Amino acid sequence: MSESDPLLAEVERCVRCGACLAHCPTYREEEREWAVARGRIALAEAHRRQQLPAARRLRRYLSTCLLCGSCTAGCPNEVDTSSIVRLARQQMIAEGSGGRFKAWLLRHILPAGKRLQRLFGLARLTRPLWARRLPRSSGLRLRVGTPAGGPARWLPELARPFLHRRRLPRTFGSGSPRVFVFPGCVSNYLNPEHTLSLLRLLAGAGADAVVPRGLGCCGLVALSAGENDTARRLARKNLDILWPKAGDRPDFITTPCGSCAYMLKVHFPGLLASDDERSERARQMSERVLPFSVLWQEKLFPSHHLNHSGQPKPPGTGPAPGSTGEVITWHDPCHLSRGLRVRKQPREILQSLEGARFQPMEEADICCGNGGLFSVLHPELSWKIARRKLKNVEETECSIVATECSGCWLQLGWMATQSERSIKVLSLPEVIERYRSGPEKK
Amino acid sequence: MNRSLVKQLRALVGKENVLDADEDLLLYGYDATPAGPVTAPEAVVLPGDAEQVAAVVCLANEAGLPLVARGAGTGLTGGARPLRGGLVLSTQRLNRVITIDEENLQAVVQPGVVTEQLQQQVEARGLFYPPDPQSRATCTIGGNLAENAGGPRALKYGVTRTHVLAAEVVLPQGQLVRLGARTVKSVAGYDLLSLLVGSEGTLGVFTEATLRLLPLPPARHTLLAVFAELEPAARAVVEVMRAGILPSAVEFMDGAALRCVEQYEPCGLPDSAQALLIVEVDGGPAQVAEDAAAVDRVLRRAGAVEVRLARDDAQAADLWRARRSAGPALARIAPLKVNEDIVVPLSQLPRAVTGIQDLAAEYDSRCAIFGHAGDGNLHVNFMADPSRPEEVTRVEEAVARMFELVVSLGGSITGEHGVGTTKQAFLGLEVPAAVMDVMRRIKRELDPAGIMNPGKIFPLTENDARAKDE
Ligand SMILES: Cc1cc2nc3c(=O)[nH]c(=O)nc-3n(C[C@H](O)[C@H](O)[C@H](O)COP(=O)(O)OP(=O)(O)OC[C@H]3O[C@@H](n4cnc5c(N)ncnc54)[C@H](O)[C@@H]3O)c2cc1C
Ligand code: SF4
Ligand code: SF4
Repeated sequence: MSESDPLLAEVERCVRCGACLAHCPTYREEEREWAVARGRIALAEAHRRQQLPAARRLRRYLSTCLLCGSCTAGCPNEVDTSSIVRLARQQMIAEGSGGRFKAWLLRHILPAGKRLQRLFGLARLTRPLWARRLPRSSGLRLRVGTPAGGPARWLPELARPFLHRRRLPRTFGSGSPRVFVFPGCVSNYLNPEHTLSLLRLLAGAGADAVVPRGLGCCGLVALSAGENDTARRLARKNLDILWPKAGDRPDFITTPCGSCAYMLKVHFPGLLASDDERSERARQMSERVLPFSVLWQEKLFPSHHLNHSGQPKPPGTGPAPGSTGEVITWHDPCHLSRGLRVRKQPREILQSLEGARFQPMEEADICCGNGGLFSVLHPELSWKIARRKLKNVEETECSIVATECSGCWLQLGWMATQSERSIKVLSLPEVIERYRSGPEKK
Repeated sequence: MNRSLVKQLRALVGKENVLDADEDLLLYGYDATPAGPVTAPEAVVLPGDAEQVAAVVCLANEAGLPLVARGAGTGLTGGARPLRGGLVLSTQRLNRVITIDEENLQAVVQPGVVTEQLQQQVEARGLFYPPDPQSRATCTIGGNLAENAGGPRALKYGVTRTHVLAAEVVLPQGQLVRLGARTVKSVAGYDLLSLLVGSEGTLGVFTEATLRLLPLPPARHTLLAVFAELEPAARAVVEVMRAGILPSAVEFMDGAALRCVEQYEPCGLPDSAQALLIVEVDGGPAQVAEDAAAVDRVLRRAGAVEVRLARDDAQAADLWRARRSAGPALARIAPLKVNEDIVVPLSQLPRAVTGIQDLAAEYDSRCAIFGHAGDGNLHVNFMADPSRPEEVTRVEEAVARMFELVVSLGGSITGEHGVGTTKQAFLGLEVPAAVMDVMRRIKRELDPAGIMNPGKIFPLTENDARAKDE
């Protein structure tokens, strides 16, 4: 069409039909036009056409988008609102109106491995002071995102030691396929178990899996906030390790986090498209990235299958509730289910577990409300969205929620602390291991 | 807007329910209408109950402030656009289903309730609210009443009006009144409820509706028929209805619409297809099976080259996919889509369809037709590239000629989308001058200050609170 500006070209495809009103999680809570794709698209357009300055309100309206992609999935024209919002945020940053605390965090802390490590180290030391019994009114609590009138933001214990400090094999041995594992920040600093469990499973299936040294944040949080330069810097650094110019290259690259997988697979090639030296490598690497569930089901399945028939059981079968079998439900991470269109494999895995009953929840693919920095910047709205998720989770009467994204894991973990029921939130590799070694062992 | 007015509005509905920041106002100026001007309102009010609506309307009267009611903004004729600035009154907060009365088969709802949500709630109790505008996942009951919305099922079950027993309305001067009765019958005085339903927000604001429900039909079968020629398909519609079966929907697509869809989302239709019909029958299981078999025979006899049958919801959804993709698929190929929703008497359907295609050829413009053919209602889409003025002019001429054709066949220029701003120029073709005059007098009588949605149905300068400012 006529527009050459990528933001306006995408905006033009929106016919304002309003179909997205039925799909947007933030609109369901706020019921105002700014909280839905149609409105955000109009705001981004007005800003781009210099009809609206990037004042505080505009920044807030655009920063409340989860980039969850639900609107796109429900839109007859598949308008990519996430891209529009990202481009608008990028422009606001270029104009110097992006919000200072956030910019500092994104530009200086996340990308710098050492500084991020130090920050988390400091946090671990001081955690007892701030996270335990801070009064509700404390500013520190707000800083970590506790909603007014909502429950205190849950933060898991920090890993001790951090994953990157642990002794793990550094180079490939003799197994096959050869897999590089990208842990992601959450697994590195908060829950190494996601990665360790994945490594054990791959080893058990005969694969040769290594966490290469020197990996950083995948950069999705920066990209979502419109900090493209930062995201690009991170992409370069990670690419040079995951798919180096020379030396060891893996058969596959996987990660316990579906969002990291999405970032590596979908956005690295785009971010590095005009980097002469790296664009081709980024493309090659992208082809090798598989989210864990896909790698497990499609590349390793024959060697590991869990039940004797090798067939997944239909949903809802298996031991009845109350018997020894646990009930497990599944939450679809946005970036996995819509970003990478992976829905089938995790369900197949859960259906094939011996001794567990997979009980699907309603609205499994609606965003949990984490959304990168969203939950920190908009804790009230984040909590409202999480509350619906909690209701859907509770209705399955499960004791375990499985997911494949570290952001979802954090958010669901927070949510679970607010349940009357006892609910564990586990990454997919952990769930598999739990049933390999029998439900009683862990 | 002047501060003291905003203050008064805030006092009426609460501080957070009056929006007056530029960032918000910008978002209440548009609806789903493809073309035409978008003007931001000066303030958006979100009342929480009928009394607040009445108070806001009174204030608008005193201040000479235009006021436009707004549901979900899915209207296609500019109905919810505030042409004169002023106030937009959003029904977003009035979104409660008040009661579902299973004994009397009625539902009482606030106007901001989303149509599909009401349908899901009543269907969970074995009841049925049939009106199904294709926007039902987002549009509101208030908007449906104001536009007298229809949909595929209107063929068997009627349009929205058929299902409205009573309504609570704030009239343009602020009186809160009830119209209609909570009974299936009532002939007490003039039928003002019928006047208000379909009045496009120009005669009052709905604050509550009592809707009639039906028992949910237990079974439903869907058939899809492919035709190698257009005319027989249009005739088949007439034949199906003559066979003594009243389907719950008969939808039609012509070859141009089909080819768009096939590109957008392949449904495996034969290349030779020049028209497609989707027929749905509902009722008791045995009756439905019998009806479906009869429809199948009629379609084949009328010349269908292929007929597919869906026996369950999943299969039916597959068949409907082609029809539902039609609008968006068309939007992709041409930036400007003039979507008209004409309606003709059923027997004239073949003549209307071929006549419109001839017109498109004569004016050398691309045109695709689809719609709820069972009740003679067709969505005619002329496509043009706005950057080519001569193309746009050709389309405008073709549309004008089409309306003349439709009226000459005894049809109407709009079956369900309303007049709004986009069809004003053609209203006179269909409605005689004397009747137009009655309509104008009704509007002036009920809304002397001209505050209620000025510029809709009638041109802006007529009976408009702000005409004098021009
Ligand atoms: C994809 C798509 C498909 C569609 N399919 C159909 C279809 O099949 N059949 C059909 O009939 N229409 C269809 N429409 C048009 C539209 O959805 C209907 O006209 C619908 O009834 C509008 O409802 P709304 O809540 O969006 O109203 P809005 O667009 O917000 O308003 C429409 C009009 O109603 C008035 N109004 C709204 N609420 C009130 C109230 N409480 N009191 C008084 N006036 C009020 C407004 O002032 C305006 O004039 C379609 C639209 C789209 C975008
Ligand atoms: S984003 Fe898509 S669904 Fe939403 S209004 Fe625009 S075209 Fe319609
Ligand atoms: S990406 Fe998610 S939050 Fe953002 S507009 Fe779309 S549906 Fe709403």
